[in-house]
Amino acid sequence: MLRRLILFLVGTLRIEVTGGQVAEFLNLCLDRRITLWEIERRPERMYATLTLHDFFALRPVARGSRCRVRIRGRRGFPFLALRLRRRPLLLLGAVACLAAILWASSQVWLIEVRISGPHQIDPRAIRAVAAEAGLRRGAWKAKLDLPQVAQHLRARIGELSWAVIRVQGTRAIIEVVEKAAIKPADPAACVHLVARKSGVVEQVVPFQGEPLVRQGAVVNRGDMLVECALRYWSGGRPGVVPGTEPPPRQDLARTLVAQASVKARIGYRSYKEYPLEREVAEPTGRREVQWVLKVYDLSILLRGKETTSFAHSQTSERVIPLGKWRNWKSPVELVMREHAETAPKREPIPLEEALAAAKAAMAAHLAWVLGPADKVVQPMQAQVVEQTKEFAGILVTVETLEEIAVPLEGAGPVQPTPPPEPQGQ
Amino acid sequence: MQRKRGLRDRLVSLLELPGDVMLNVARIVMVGDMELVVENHRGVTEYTPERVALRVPEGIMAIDGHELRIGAISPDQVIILGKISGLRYSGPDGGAS
Repeated sequence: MLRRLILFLVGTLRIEVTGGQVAEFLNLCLDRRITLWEIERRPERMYATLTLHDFFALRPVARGSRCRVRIRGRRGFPFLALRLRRRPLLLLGAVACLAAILWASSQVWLIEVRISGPHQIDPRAIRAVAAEAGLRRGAWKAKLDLPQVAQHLRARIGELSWAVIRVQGTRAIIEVVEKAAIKPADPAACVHLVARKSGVVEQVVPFQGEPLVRQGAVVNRGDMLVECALRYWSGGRPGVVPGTEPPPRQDLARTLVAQASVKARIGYRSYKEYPLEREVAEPTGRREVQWVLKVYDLSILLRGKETTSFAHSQTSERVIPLGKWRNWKSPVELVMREHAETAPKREPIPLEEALAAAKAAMAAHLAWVLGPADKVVQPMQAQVVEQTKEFAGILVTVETLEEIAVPLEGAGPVQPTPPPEPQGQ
Repeated sequence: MQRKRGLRDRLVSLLELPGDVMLNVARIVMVGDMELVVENHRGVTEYTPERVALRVPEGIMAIDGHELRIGAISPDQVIILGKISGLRYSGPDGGAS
């Protein structure tokens, strides 16, 4: 690499040596300590490369070996400088371009702010404070003291817990972390869990709140499943007969956000009528061909009729571009259009196909409504309820196990029903 | 001269000195059949695409091959490139050795 650089700086010449004695020419070069390289022997001639300095010592060598030397190529800075001397404006432009690139790449042109945390700080505010410390668009990268800018950000913006600045090329990235305050739970918050679908409860796992349903309960959409209350027995846990349920807790300690997993079996039914006949186009074998030459939007009919004479037909088209190279396409293209005549014909649809279509429609519906944790517990069943020559009425049923609890905000705790008053005698 | 050379050979052998440094001979390094570097040469006697003949202290060294090129030539060394098929020595009087 260094050798190539030196050769470029001193300049090299590719010479052609003809006539005389080539071996003698080489030996005389060696005597005068002229280094040659890339020597190629061709019939009647020889090519070699040497430095510009050595070329001036070549005249006695050529004379001594009775060879003729011609220059076949010039490379290197001396020749480039000679060419540039004739075109000073080109040199000036290149220097100006280089200076512009150096100037542009030594400045900050983009300031990106990355905030981690609750995003309560406006990035524009961070940019404004960074600008106070010198980090602004158009600032010299060499003059920036990044740790000092980060320290200034932390000192001026109290909501920041950490800040660091990196410079990548002409982009400065300010990364900050906001102080996140942990909010205590609102003691007045009350969020119930209600059913989003009707079904039979299969499993209740309460995490927070008072469950109001049990396994086997039939719930409708909107029914309350878990109450947003933490209840207790004011007089302590009442004594109960073993094997029986204790009485419900009546006294309210506080309200909360109910959390529970409530799974229920949901039944889906879908009835739909499917046709048992369809119309198909049967080709008659008659064809009409059109050849059209297209130039941009202009169409010239070369062969065939303007419009097809068939009442029913299927059209196929083949476009042949007249000339194509890489991503260029000629605007002239030949379109070969073929119209095949068809005759409409009715054909029966097998019942199995209608049943499969009904099942596929239900599967598509389930894919839309089921969540990732929900699953089908009873396989899909399709049965023909009604059948005529034209259609079949198909009923599809399926049962799933789904999470049905959804939060309901805004309602207060359920007022406990007072225990029945003892009947006086 | 022959006596002097023999004495130097024996001395090199006795002291286990490197021969290419102590003796006035050509040093040849060959890389596969595509590159041959000859150090301590005395010039070129013949150069065609099929043969390069070099003058060395021991006589004439002929390198045969196809499309032979001289990668570089300087008073110290010659680099010969191409498809090398043979290397022969002949004495100063032209006889093979």
